[in-house]
Amino acid sequence: MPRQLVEKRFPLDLKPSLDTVWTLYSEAKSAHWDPSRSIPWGEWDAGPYDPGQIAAARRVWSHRLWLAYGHLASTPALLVRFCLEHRRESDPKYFLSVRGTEEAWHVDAVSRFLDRLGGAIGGPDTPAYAELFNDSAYAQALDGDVVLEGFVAAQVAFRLDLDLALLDAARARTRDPVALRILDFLVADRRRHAAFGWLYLEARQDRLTDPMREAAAAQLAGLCRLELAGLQLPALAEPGIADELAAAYESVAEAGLGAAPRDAALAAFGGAVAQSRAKLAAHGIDLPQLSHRLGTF
Amino acid sequence: MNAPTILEKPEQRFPIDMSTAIPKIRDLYLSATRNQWDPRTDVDWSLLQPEKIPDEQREAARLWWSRRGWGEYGAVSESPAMIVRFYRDRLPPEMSLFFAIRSQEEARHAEACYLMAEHLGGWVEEPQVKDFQNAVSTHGVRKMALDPDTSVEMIFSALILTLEEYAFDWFRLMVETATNPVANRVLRLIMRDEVRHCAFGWHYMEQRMPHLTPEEVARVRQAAITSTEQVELTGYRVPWMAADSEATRIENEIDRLTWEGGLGATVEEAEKPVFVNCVKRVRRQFMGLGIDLPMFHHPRIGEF
Repeated sequence: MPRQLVEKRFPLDLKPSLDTVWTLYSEAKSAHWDPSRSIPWGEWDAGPYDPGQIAAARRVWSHRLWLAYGHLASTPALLVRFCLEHRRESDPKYFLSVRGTEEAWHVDAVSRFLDRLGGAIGGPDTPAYAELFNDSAYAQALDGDVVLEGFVAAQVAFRLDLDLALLDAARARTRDPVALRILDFLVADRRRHAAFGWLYLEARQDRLTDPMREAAAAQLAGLCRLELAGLQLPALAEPGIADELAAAYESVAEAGLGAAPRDAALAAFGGAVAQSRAKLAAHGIDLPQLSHRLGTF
Repeated sequence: MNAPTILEKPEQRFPIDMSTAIPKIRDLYLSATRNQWDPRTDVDWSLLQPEKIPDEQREAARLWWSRRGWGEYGAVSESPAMIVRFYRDRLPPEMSLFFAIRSQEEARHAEACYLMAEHLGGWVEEPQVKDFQNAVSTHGVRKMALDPDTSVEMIFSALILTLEEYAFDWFRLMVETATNPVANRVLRLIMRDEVRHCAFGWHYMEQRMPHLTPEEVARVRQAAITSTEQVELTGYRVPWMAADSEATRIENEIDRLTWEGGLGATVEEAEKPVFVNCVKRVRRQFMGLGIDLPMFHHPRIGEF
């Protein structure tokens, strides 16, 4: 049973205290966009694509929706957690409130694109793949026994860096103007979201204790199991778990509709893991080499 | 020992259904997306001219805007919990989309109040009198949001259909009486968001009421009564409704000085008729849902 925290609101400091996070918050406020108006929906033309490519794009963008949808709950939960922790800085609370809005826009934008591709697919083909998504990150965020710094290291810094790397790799191969514009916004927002994780760890560097580092390492280990099972990169899934989705990524990459081919995605994944490992090591948090049948990351 | 919450049950993300079930809430989400504002850049703070405000009024307004900030912060820390609840209950996605923006709106309200207090002499971190802390600290939304035995409809009844409606009319009155251009601008911007917050609750309830059992309707009714009697009428929002005490007298004096300076706040004689009319309107709106709210009583108002 998650341990519930009890809020002690006063004294309440709303003064900005972390310049780097405050800057991110200010940038986010001025970068707002509107999924209904900021995407060139009028330029969408299914004509150049064959039905197989459209069906594949429907799968790939549905996968993106499944991932984004989970953040609708986990980000507000994290915001609540920051508020429940006595005398936590105000800047993360402000920032997370904007991140929540941006993730709502991600869900909306991806969903609108899916409407044009034939509609969102409600879930994965196999129960085994679906189970990867049920990590209850929102419940972890609200569990007083889960170390907040560990959660930020794993679920924000590391996880969103992977997400960012994969989105960036997809954007680099995207030619369709609608898909490209959506990815532009997703990447720009995610860059700030991931940066927040690293900047917050940096800001708390002097207060990190060994038990916190161990908790972070344990949370990272749990998350890596999901990632290596193909949560964000279906090519990593065991055969029979997400085969059609992995194949769809290849087809969509070739069509320029919003995905990276397998090798490019694996390279992006490996690069992000390596960079995260180095950044985590600077905070004394251990991220071991990740072994997988497709390679070591 | 902790009471069970909705967090114990494992996540079940699928199937995800993105179809819109409540178009009016979808429209509110779109409106919120298009009406973003930034307290730092959408308010001309130079017009505040704190040096021209008498010290006594400026100090009172500083305290009042800090208190307002404590209240707005309460929503920052509590309304995101509602999204977790929507997610767990698999409610229509437009509800989570709207509430995500609503959470940001609450944060910018808190930021705007903080900036007002800072410009008026400095943000105050806590009530001067400790007794007042409980009155402004929480109305229990987070606990309700995570409690599987408290329905979403009960929470909306307690929070949005009553407390937020009362607050909305209060803001409208303050917009009419705040003569300082910056105070007026901030109040107006906050009120613009609050319109959507109130509408959200009614749109949801209109859609849900036909599906509730008589027992569930009775609990929704009781939630409205309880929040009105035990939260609103005990001075959660305005101190003139609180029981007499040293803390109440201090806070009432702060409100009066702030109001006299045209810097926000209301006072008992100005707000009482507005509040009574607001409760009458809310009662009519509940009647539209098929719920008959009783008359209420407050020592300073009588029966209304």
